[in-house]
Amino acid sequence: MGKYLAVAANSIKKNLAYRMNNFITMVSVFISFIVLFYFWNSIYRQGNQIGTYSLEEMISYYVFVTIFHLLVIGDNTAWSVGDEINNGQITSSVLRPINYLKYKFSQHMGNLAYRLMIFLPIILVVLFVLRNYITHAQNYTTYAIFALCAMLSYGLYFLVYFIVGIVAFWTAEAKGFFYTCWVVINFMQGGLIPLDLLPKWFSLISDSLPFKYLFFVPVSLASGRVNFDYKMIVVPVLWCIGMYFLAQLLYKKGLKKYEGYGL
Amino acid sequence: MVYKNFKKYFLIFLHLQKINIMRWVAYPASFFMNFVATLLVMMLSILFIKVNFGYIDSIAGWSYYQVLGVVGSYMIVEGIMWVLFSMLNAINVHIKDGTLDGILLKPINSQFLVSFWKGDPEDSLRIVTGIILIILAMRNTIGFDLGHFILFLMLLINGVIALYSFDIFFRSFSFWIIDGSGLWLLMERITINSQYPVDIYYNKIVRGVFTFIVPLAFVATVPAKILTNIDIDWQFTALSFVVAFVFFFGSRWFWEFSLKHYSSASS
Repeated sequence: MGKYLAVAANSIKKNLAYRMNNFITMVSVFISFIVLFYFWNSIYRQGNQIGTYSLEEMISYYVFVTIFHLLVIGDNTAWSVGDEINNGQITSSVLRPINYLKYKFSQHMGNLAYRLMIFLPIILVVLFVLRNYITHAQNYTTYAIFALCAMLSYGLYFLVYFIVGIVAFWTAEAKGFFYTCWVVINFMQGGLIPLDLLPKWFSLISDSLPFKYLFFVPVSLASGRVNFDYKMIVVPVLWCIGMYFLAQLLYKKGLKKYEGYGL
Repeated sequence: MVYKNFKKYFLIFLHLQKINIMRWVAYPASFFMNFVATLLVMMLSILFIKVNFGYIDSIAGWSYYQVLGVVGSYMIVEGIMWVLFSMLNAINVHIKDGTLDGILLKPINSQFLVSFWKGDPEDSLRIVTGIILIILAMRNTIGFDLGHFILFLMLLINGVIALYSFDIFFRSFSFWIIDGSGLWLLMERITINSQYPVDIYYNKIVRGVFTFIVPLAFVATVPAKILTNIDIDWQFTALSFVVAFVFFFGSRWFWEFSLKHYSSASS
């Protein structure tokens, strides 16, 4: 356990080394919030309404989605795993007495801790400034369940992209594949459009995949759009278990194909 | 002398484009996937507009087809940026790793080489999609008018110059801050936001910032306005040329100034 904590701590230190870069990232985050605020206000101030979303619900949805995006920004597990496989760096991990999946997850957690430290102040400022436009859950139990959903979302997010990255064992150049996966997953998780604004047939597809549990479900819960349903916990837990075993299986199969190319 | 220099730089430009295509052909599967991803990004951008216009008639006074004109202009400008200047996204990595030296030591203008060193030909799909949207926008608003169209093309070129200059200006900060990955995010946010008409910023100060300090308005909004409106806004048309000129020469000066602060990581 200690060695994985050290990996997470190293990730935090590495990120904190470039303080000016952190400041610039915060400015870009701030721009995102300004744009989403004005975009939706300019639509609704003409008396329009998008689906069943009020202005407050729409702004809340995108504010929470932006916060979720922030916490995974730059944490390119697929790209990082893929690069390590393609340039041979993974060999040093294979030769060490560590579990590669746990090693990458520790880095992932370190990155999350760093982002929480850096972005929490600006998130709190935005939530305060937009307090009249933010809808949220009405009781503490929902907040506790949201926290659990968010943790599951983060774990599932890691596992999904770890599996995507593992594909690099079978190809010398997989960045195009990673980018395609990112675009599809971002859409399927509700990162672009709230999923309940899309046609019914899309819901059927979305319900049979894990992606809506990454953003859409926890965000809808946090913004008070939906009430708690036990499926919000059970389904992503099952997906996490399934993805974990699939990741381990693919990693073992991939290692048999691995030739240490790039060393 | 000027002709000789121009010929030399043009030949280098052609060679770099040839290398880009060779790099692209080396991994056909990856190229195909990048192509698919770019196509999906384009389709989803249009879907976002389509879903919203399923419930509304206009955004800040812009009709559906006028907004398509803005999105189309944005896609063309963004496509040109990716096809010609995708190296700008990697400047910070080269500075951090010390690999920029190999580019700077060549006997050619450093800004030219850094700008055109690498391009992503698969992003030409953005330009094609943008052209389709522009045709749709034109046909469903004022129709084809040669005068408007020529002016639109000139303003689009100004948009590319303004965005490129703004990009190189910001990337120059990497010489000081070394890890400039945040700059990539900042530029991405700024570029993406230019696909919405700046009129959505109903607060005058915010709109002023996104027009004159961050030249978002001149990337897509002003060209699309010319393309889809009978009345020509001469004030913004003239300003587009001024902004392109000021940003280009300002960013050139800043690049040269920043370069003096480069301390190679490889030495």
